Amino acid sequence: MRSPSAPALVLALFAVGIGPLAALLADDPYLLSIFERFLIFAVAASSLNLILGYGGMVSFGHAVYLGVGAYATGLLANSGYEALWLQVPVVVVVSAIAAFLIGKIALRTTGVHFIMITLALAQILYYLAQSSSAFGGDDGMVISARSALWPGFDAYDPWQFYAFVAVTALVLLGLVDLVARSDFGRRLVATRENAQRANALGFDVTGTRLVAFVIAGAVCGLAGMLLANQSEFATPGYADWRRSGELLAIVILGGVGTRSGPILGAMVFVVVEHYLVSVTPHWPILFGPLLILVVLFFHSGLAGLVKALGGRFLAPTAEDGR
Amino acid sequence: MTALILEQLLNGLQLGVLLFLIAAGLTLIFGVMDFINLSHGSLFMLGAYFAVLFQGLTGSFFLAVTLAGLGVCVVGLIFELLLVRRLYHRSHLDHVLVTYGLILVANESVAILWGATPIFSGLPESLSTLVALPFGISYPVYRLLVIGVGIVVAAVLFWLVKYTRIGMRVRAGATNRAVVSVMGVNISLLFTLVFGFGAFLAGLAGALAGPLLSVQPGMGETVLILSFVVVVIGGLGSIKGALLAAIIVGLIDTMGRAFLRDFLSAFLSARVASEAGPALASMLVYILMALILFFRPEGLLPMQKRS
Repeated sequence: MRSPSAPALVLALFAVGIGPLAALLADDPYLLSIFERFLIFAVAASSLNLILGYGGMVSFGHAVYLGVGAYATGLLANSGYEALWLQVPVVVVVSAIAAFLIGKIALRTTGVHFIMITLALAQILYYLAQSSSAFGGDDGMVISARSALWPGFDAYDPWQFYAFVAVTALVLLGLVDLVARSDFGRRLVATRENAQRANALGFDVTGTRLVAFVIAGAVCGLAGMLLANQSEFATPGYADWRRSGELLAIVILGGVGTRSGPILGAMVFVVVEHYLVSVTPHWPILFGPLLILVVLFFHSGLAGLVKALGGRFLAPTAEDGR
Repeated sequence: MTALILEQLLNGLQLGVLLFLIAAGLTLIFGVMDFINLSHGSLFMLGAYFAVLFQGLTGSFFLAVTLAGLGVCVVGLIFELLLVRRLYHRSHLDHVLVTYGLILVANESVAILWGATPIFSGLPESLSTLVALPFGISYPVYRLLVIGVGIVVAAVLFWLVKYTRIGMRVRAGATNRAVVSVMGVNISLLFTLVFGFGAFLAGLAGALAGPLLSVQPGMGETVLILSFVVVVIGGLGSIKGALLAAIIVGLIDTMGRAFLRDFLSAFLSARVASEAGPALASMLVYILMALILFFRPEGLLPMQKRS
């Protein structure tokens, strides 16, 4: 395992620092909530990047874990269990179980079948949330209290809440990075590059993929926990297939299989979305062509762009190429 | 009760026929070009909008449906020539992303042009009546017509693929693209034709479905996901499989929504049944797909593929 490099630390500081900087400069704490969304989507996208970029598994149902995490958090909070130390293990276990079951079935297939079956299995959970009155059905579920950390912590103070989201996001991003750079991560890349050879070398290909799938699901579940806290709301829309498409788009926009890609992609996506929505409600009509252009002509994404502009400073790729 | 069950069976058949029209295009495009087209649902949506537009212009429902199918075919050909053909040699992930981008563009364009609220798709008087069938069923004429058109189109499609030269090339292309190309078949023309034909079928399905669904942005997406379920259950690339799976999915989805609640209330309390029934009904086809893929990952009637 290699140690985290200076560029990674610069990137991390940049990711959590830009929000407060913008809020201070504009003297508008509301801006923090935009950057909270950015960090949450960065975590979700980097968990998808772990299986997509490093593992070569195109999951078209990754947003389902955002939903699972958000609903688990919401149900706990509304039943009076607001303590974070209780919510985190529950969210991790529940989303890991969901990912294990989905992965167990989906990993019997590869290629297009894998894309379609992850989509279909995510739809099952989406409809569960949508048609169950205990979960608030189509209208979603208002969450009565944000997670409680310790006495005196005010989750409704913009700065304290931002600090909570930022620290959690950094821990999770660091965790994904750690997994990607570990021996396990290199085995995962080996299964992507040549499953047959990896198998011949004695790696348990399906087992490696399944573990990565479960880790990614659990991390994305925690992103869902943050999202539930941030919006104080859980809706079936979090698990919608369009959301899964957005997560894929964020990873591609940023650069597949790069460490900085999901973070840069999420930042551009959330900020661009925020400003375009205020220009026109039809903003996807601009985002769609952007996505198509990136896929057609600019496959290395933003991470590739940053790398080309700033040398190797900001965008260290873990394993070059796809 | 018999009448009710038969009526729902017909409804299921009608949904299955519509799903087949969409799934046939998807599975042909996949089988021949190895291309995943998420925007196939958008072509379906365009078909519904075009039908409403042309009906306003021409005043004839049947002419409008035909023109809508042809219009969507033209749109599909333009897509293929400008964009899709650059993607055939790319990964499936790229297909998914580009066509996802196209969905966003299509939905917003439609919302800008026609508004985000559902528009009314009128039926002529002669088609909005009920017809008396055996067993005391009175059934909407229009739904029968949809079933009939679907069966005719399916028959024509099978004839085209099985007995014509172009169909032979399509089958050959699906089995081994490289060899077909080496044998001197103009493969890029074949690809364009297949894509255009798939678009025509989707547009036709959309035009026919307009009066049955609400015509609004995003209406193609539920149908698209169901059609993917059909294609995957049937076996990717297999038209026969798509037909079989479309009927199965259409029937199971319709029967589940109609009877699952009553069926469950025989075993469970009324409250639990009315809660679980609709939830389970909307999940049923996806559960079926997961089960089929678990036991037969290649689908029910897989295509013989050599690459």
